[in-house]
Amino acid sequence: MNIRTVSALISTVLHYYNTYTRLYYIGICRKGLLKMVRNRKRELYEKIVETIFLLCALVGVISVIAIIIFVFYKGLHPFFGTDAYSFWDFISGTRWAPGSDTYGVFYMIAASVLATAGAMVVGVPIGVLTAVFIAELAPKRAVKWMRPAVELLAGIPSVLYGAFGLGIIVPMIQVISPRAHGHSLLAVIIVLTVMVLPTIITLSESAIRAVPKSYREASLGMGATQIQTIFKVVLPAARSGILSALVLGIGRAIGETMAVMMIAGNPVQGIPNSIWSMVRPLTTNIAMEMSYSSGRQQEMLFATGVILFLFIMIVNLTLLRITHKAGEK
Amino acid sequence: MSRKGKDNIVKGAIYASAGFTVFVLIAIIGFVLVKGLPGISISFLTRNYENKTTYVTVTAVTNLYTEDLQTGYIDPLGITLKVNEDGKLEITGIDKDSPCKDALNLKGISYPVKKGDLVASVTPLNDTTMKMKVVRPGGGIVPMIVTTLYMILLSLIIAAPIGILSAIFLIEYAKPGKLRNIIHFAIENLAGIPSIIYGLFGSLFFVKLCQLKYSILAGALTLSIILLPTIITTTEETLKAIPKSYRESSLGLGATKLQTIRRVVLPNALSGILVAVILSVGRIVGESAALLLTAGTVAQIPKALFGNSASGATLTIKMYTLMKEENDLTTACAIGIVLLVIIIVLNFASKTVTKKLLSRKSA
Amino acid sequence: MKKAIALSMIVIFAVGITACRSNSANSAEVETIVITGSTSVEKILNEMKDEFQALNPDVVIEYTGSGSSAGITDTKAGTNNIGASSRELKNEEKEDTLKSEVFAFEGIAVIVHPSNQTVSNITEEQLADIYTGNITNWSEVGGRDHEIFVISREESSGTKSAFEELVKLGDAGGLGGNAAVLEGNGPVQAAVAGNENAIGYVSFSYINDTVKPLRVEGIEPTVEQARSGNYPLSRPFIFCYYDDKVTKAGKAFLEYAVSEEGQEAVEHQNGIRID
Repeated sequence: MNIRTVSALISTVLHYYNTYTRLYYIGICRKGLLKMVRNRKRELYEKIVETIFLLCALVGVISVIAIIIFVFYKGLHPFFGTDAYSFWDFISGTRWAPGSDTYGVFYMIAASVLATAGAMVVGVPIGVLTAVFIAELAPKRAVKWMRPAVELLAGIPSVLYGAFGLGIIVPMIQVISPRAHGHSLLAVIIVLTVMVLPTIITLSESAIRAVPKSYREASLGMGATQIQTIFKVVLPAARSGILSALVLGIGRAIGETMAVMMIAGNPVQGIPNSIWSMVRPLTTNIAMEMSYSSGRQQEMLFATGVILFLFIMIVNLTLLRITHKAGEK
Repeated sequence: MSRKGKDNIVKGAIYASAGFTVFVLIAIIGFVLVKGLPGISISFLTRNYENKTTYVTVTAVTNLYTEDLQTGYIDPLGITLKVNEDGKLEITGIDKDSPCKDALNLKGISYPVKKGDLVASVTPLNDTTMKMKVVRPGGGIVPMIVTTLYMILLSLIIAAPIGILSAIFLIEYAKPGKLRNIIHFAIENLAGIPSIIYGLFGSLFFVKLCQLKYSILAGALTLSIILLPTIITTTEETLKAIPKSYRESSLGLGATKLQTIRRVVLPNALSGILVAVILSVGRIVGESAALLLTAGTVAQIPKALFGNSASGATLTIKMYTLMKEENDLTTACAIGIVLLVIIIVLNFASKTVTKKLLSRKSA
Repeated sequence: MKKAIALSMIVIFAVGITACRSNSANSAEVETIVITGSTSVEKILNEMKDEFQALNPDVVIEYTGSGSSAGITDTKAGTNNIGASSRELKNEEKEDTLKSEVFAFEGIAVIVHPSNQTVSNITEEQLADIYTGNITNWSEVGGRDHEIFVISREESSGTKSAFEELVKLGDAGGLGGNAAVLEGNGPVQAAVAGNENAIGYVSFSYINDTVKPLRVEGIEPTVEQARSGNYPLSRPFIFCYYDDKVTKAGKAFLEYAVSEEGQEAVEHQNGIRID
């Protein structure tokens, strides 16, 4: 063995050693890189999924915007441009006669507002109290069938309520009414109340049940009775849920069409001056004439829709503000 | 007044309210049952809605004309006739080897005559064949049932994923602020929009603009927008009710947000989501105003998703048109009974599933 | 769990749609005629429909009763093949290419509750006054002392247009706010049958023993009187269509409607033939 061989050997070994070490370090780096890439992949994946979630949530916003744009564009059209119809006449008129180019919706606004108000005045107390009953006071045996019973009521289609209204409520009112007919504001209020009840009960009950037990226990522990606990602690805590139940209830009442169409009477004019008067809510006006209307009449129906919309938005805004105030507490 | 006195009055009011609710339920169900039961029968549940009149040629030798037909067995045709309550001749029995089973309609396609068909007329054509006019009675609700099922499936497939994912976004990802407020505001507006306006929008947008014509797809798309608020709100409330600690402990163990959602939050929310789905199905089954203007009122099984022959009346729509056009409260309430049964079954199913889920979780 | 449910739903749905496609594949050559419009023509149209479909097994007729104006609007918009109407086309609806075919006449009957014994005859002028709100009490037309429950039809109804034109309601002041607006002949008949003080108008084919038809200007509301022209309240049933939208099957149906067999259906349902 001479020096050259030895140095060749040493350099070879060193070479391999260096390479191996280099490879080893590169390997570690690659693992790290891979981990970084995998993490970034996962991050990307999560970001994509989050975007999908966001898009889904935006579907609701897009739908609302689309519906609003559609309805408002078509609905406000007849009030602008040449041959415009006076908006004031529209809002304050009390006669709807497309044949003679008369479109007044004030009496319909009155009908819808009165009917909804009536339904809520009766339906909300009964609904919330029933929800309280189911959630707090009822013995387990009663809850076992009450909750399914309410859910059943919630699922009953509006046409069934319409049949009920037509078959029972209208004849009943016909008997007790000083007027000649059973089709009346009262009939609409009764049917609407009955329809709104399950919505209010179910959602209020969920909200009440969602109030943590600790609230109640704390209150009872401080010596309050059950009733005091319910009304001073639980219900306020469930306020946001109950208020959203209210909003949905009002929405259902204002927007109900099929059930009331057959029991309201739907006259062509006349502000309802008593609960026995016939009424034409905004919704039935649209439903009755939509399928065949064209031109100005159709646009006027969309205008009726716009009025409906505005009402609902006002209700939503007011209640949303109250909910936020309550929620912040 | 003493505390106890006040409490008792309030308690009384509570009991009265609950009692009123129960009374209302009994009144409605009772009315529908009483009015509708006479209309329920096997044929009601299994037949098509429209009567179907067909001319058929039967390979049989008879010298019978329509005036000769009477109650009894008709040998060459192998059928037994009987005069039914409407005065029509009904086939109450048909032999296994009756030539009527091989009857052909005017286009030469096979149209076997069945038991229950009505014979309206017979004419001998020639030595070997004769012509018969048979009416297959309708009055059944099969097309409406199928249409309703289609509507449920289609609407849920569209609405449920979007709704659930939206709720997850709102609760898990979105920070309280402008975006969340906007979305909530939009959802609450959607919830308040009356179904007739959805009908307006759907009829103009899906039916006319998108050229879907009166079809189940137009109806389902309109319905899915209607369902969004229900699904989102209920799912949101459920997700809200899951304690923050669940999520925090999962994240603390190193799971990513998505993993936490998938493995911790969602399983706990399943019962609530199911409630949302059930409420939605109930809403779909009960929806009429929106469908009236988008899916049409023809009592048939839709043969396509959109375009011609895609329209169909669901059970509720048919019930409404029966009341509106023919004032047939009996048949309408019979459909009402079917609807009630469907709703009861749905509710029961959801309860059972929820129980199973809960027991599996705690096990 | 959710995945399983979703998956099974998709499977069921896919199977369902495939099953339906295969059904329609068997009856591949089925032609559909879409008819929309008047509810008054329903009984006659249903019988014509049954018979025509029996004679032509590869044709399916879909009929929706949405009101005469709805039918005419649909025809103009192209959403149906044939529009059915229980009134003539208005001047503003007429178009050069829009054709119409009269296939029957039918009378409009004025009905009251059977317990309304003392009122059996009514004049056109009284009808106009009742419907505009000038007369509000039965005693003013010979009946009991009670408010009249006036029942009218929806705006789309051809029967309403025909009735209001025939009694010259426009001159009397138009429809009053005291009149209930019900949709369809059926509900009017039911409402009158259920209210002792009601008055309404329906197509002849909707008269049964739950309501009492009145004589108008002294003439009985029978098919014969309507056919002879004595009974003042009768109007034509028409089909309206465009030549290029009506389809071959539609054309065949239109021919059938005015043929002998079609007119038999009109007669069966208490309508008046066009000859």
